[in-house]
Amino acid sequence: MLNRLKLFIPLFVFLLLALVFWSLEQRIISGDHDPSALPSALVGKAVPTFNLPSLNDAEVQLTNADLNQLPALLNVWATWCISCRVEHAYLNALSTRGINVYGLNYKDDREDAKLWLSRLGNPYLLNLFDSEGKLGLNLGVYGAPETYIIDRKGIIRYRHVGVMDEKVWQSKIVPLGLDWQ
Amino acid sequence: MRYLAGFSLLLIVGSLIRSIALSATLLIFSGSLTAQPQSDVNPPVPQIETASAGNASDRLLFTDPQQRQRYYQLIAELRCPKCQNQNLADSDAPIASDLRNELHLLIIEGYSDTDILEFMQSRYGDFVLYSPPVNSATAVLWLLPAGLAAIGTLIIIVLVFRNRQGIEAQKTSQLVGKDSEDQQQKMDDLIDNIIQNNRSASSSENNKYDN
Repeated sequence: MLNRLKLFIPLFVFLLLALVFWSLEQRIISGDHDPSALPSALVGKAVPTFNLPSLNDAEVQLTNADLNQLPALLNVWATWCISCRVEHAYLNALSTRGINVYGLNYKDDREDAKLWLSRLGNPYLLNLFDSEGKLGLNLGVYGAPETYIIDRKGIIRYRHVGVMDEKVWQSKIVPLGLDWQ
Repeated sequence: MRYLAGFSLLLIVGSLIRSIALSATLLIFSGSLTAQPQSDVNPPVPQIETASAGNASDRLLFTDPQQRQRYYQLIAELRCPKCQNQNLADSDAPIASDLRNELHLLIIEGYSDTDILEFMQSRYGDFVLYSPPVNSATAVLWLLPAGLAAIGTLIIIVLVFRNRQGIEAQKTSQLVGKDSEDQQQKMDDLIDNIIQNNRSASSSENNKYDN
């Protein structure tokens, strides 16, 4: 009897693995889990020091001091990035809700980027123009869009890779417990 | 029991193949790395050389062959964060190209390999290192193959030991002999009985047809 049962061990192992992989796939399909998203090495650390021109005005240099003392989103975007266009409406909505959104225009063309903002709306309090991806490299950016959540003290609390939307906001950003106003 | 042995054998063979494949790729890499500068040193004017990295179209200048060698070693060791199963040398992703340029700069500016690896790790995490450090997050990665091999070996040892005990038991029963002879006799009798029964049954059936 026991020996007979042993014959079914491979079947049980198979069913177990199938269950594990199936549930993982469901989480990927629903967007809860992105297997290619990396944890940021900068969570818990300060925003790297930067000195970059403003997107709107090449003469204006922006530094860490230009980020005000409120929690904010630092959104890495570019006109060549399709997903950035997808999330842009949501960033506009966040901005009208009174949430601080900063932009990091990443390896982009200045005129294209300006045109994009005039057409699709500008949710950004200010936009850093990082044509060579220098700050991007210091932040550990490996593609756009990425969104960094920065707290009052300028510490990076979370990094989201991919499109920012209400679901991400509710499940990942709200639990950080930041006071946005 | 037998397929349990097979399973554990599979575990062992699997981890063996894994380690062989790993060391083979390492060998190939180190082979191509050491081969590179040797072929480049030969040209008569080795003062300024261009080095094109793997797939990359970017051309980077090194004045010191040793620096170039370090560059090749590091782009093979560092993983592209975008195309996650390629190293910086293989990857065509823009970020890989950026990281190669940065790496080139850091080498020229005189940073050591440890400095550079730390630079990359502090920005892109343990993920960029193809041989990640042993910590709580990577312990499974490092210990699982060894653990599986140990469990497999243990299972095989136990099975072989049990098998041997079984053979010993059989041998002793053969030595005693009497029991088995008795049983053989009983068996023979039983078979004889069955054959006789069959014969009488078939002959009575034959008789029916005759009538």
